[in-house]
Amino acid sequence: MSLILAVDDEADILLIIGVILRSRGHEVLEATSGEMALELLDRETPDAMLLDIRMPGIDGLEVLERLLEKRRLSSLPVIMLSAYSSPSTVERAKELGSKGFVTKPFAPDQLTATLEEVLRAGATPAA
Amino acid sequence: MARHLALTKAAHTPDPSRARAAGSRRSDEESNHRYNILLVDDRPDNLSALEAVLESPDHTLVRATTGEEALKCLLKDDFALILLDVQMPGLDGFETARIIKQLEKTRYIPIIFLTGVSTEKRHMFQGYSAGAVDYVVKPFDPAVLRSKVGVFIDLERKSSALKESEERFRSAFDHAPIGVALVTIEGRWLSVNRSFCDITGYPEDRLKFRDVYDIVHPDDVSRDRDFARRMLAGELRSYHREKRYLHAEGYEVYVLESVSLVHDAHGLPLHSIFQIADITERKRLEAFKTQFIDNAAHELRSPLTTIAGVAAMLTNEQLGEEEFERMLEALTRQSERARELINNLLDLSILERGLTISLQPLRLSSAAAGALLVEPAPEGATVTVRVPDHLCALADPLRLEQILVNLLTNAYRYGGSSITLTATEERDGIVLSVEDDGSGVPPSFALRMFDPFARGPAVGDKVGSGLGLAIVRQLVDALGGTVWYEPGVPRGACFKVGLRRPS
Repeated sequence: MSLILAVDDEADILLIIGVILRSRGHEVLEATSGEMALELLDRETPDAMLLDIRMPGIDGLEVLERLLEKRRLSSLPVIMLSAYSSPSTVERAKELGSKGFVTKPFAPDQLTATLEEVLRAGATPAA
Repeated sequence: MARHLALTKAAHTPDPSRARAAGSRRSDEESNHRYNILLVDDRPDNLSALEAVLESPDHTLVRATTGEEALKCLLKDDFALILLDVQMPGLDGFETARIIKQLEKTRYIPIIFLTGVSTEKRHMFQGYSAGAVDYVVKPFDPAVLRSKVGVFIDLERKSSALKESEERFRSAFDHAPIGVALVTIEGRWLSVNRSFCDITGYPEDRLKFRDVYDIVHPDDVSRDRDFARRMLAGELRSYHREKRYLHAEGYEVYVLESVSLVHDAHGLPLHSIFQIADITERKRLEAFKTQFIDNAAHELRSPLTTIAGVAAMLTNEQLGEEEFERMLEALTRQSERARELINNLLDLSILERGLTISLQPLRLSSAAAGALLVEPAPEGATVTVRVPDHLCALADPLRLEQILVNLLTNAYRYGGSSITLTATEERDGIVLSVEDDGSGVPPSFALRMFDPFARGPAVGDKVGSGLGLAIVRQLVDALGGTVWYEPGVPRGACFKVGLRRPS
């Protein structure tokens, strides 16, 4: 069981992510903005983050940039969520250290498979 | 005094403005044009003799008895030929000819010198160097003189026809709606037309003889050079491409450019012709459409994410009662959102194609009541209507209703609980406003909120299509009005629609 931070400005999408992840036995923290996600990360240490790209205010890429500045990314695998992204955005997210990419709409299995792969990869070097 | 010899009743007094206008007449009319011939001799009996010989309905004879008088005539009217006596008191024939050759208006008029003096070689030479094109010695043979004059008039007729055709071509070049330029083989501007100057922002004198690539976008230069080289090498007859020029004011101008090479009679390249059409606006629209489609796809995927997720998880047995309820609510909400988005996309596409609008005087109190019937205030919110009963504006009833419904929907979704719908008569027209007491619109968002898919910070779980205000703007445009935003007083958001008053 892992602690997952899900960030999306749409409450209904957070709801569905929560239902999916809890059904697989994970615990879920929710943030509805980039600002809220950064605040939460000051207090909590989740095992992975699902991060929406397009959000008003601080967007997904900017969250990654700020985490890079704080050298927090090495210990926190991030999967980007996006309904539509140009190839340059995907490229930028990779450069900034994200570990995976899930396109909306996603099938529950697709989301959990990507997440669990990232969690395993993150766990191996530490073990 | 110069005396105009009206040889027939129809003979017209030469008039410079009419003579100039003849330049633009068609050539079949040109053949009927009467040319003026200036006869200059200090002795009236000589002039009369010339008149007797040259009298013809084809030309008008004008006489002058001194060099000075001849110059006055030449400056006043247009002449095709001058017969000039050499020996005159005061300004003699040679001196007069020299002045004629110095004046812009007269320098190309052919001169035939008349002389009674023996045709000494030195004398004749002086005449030619003064600008004579021919020489007639008195006493002259009438047939010879008539035929010489005939040759010059014919020459003048041909050259003015040529000038006219050249002018016609020049005017087609100058007034062509596309930019046209002639470019030297070395790649310098030789001549550009008005449209070309308009498109690039440079006047012709700032382009002339400058390197073509000076005003080409740096990223497009190497491909241009490659095309030019291949065309000169004979690999290409012409080429067409989209490229960018740098406008005089610094911004990029997208053009569709066709370039072809002009060869001389021996097949050697003379110069190239550039033709450009400004496609900046088309490019901007294409970019806007691509962005619009990207946005629309994005907006459709968001509700689908919830709908597909709920559909997949509904059968999950671990689902608690409360979670199940919340998922059903989310399903309803997101289906409704997808439906609204698709309706709005269709509305907008109809709007972009143009609406049939029937403008008529509308009573605003009934328009407000109609809109509130379609979109009543939700529970917990109230709408106060402040619309004078008699007040009318020029609008289309269905479109105005849609404008008000969209503005009210926004106020219900994102505004406060107390909403005011007001109409007032202002100096410039009628102003309708929908004001709420919510948190207002952040300045950064206010600038772009009328753009499609622009959306402000989330307010609760209320999500719109991002198209409502874009539709309002299109509708108000179609009614010939304006829509704008002002912060509410003391708080909230206020949307105003300016409409014309009925005439």
